[in-house]
Amino acid sequence: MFDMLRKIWQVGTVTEKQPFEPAPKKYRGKIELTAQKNTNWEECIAACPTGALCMNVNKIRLFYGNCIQCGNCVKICNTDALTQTTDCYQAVNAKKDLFISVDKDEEK
Amino acid sequence: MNEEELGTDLKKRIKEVLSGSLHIRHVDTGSCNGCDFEMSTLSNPIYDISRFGVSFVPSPRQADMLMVTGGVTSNLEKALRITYEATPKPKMVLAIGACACGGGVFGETYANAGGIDPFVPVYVYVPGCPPRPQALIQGILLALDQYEEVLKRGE
Ligand code: SF4
Ligand code: SF4
Repeated sequence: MFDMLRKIWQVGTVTEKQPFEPAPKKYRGKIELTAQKNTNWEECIAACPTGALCMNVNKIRLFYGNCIQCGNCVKICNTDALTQTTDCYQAVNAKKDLFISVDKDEEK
Repeated sequence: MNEEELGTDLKKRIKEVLSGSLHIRHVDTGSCNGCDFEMSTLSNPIYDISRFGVSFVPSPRQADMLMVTGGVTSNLEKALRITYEATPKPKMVLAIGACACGGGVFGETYANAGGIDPFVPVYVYVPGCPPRPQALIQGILLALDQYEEVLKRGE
């Protein structure tokens, strides 16, 4: 019993205080998609394991609902068009808010 | 929504909308259990969501909210429908994880429907594989906003 009490004393409170701390730096969060010229879009799309990133005629489309935030597309990408943030708050009310798209050959 | 709002709001909102308690039923429709573990993380000492009046209940008949994980495999489609019908009205449905939102890593195949929205009306989509517990709390908050409107309309 004393061991248990000692443990309680040593560990203290572990419950996260409000407000919550931001995600760790290495956390793989939301992917940001921006329009940039000369990006190797085909290779990025081929690297995506879920088909979240896809091309629609001249538009690059990213569906957050399918994206597993693996970061494969960011690794392959040769420009800054795709970047990974540590943002984890992605909940939305409507499915259409989960789609974003940019023009393939446009500068932002 | 920033993090500061998130923590302080949940308790207040649950009190306003549901007069103090929110009961959640978890429905697994063929997920890999990653999302389920994040969900059980909510009730451990680190996040301790019980202090806001949220509890996980063993039966859909007691629940206000269904948290659905997984992309509805053909075997569990019936289970999802039955659970949805057993929940008293008005009911909230949350799609948790990439699987429930749009198929995720499993995609749309003969055995996997790829998302829960063909079967039940969804209040909030929480993407991520799996989403962080904080993201789940944000999802619950968004659902409460919509629930309040539904209650006002008296459906
Ligand atoms: S992070 Fe992974 S799943 Fe998401 S778009 Fe990039 S490659 Fe696809
Ligand atoms: S979204 Fe990812 S973690 Fe959640 S059930 Fe699907 S595969 Fe598993």
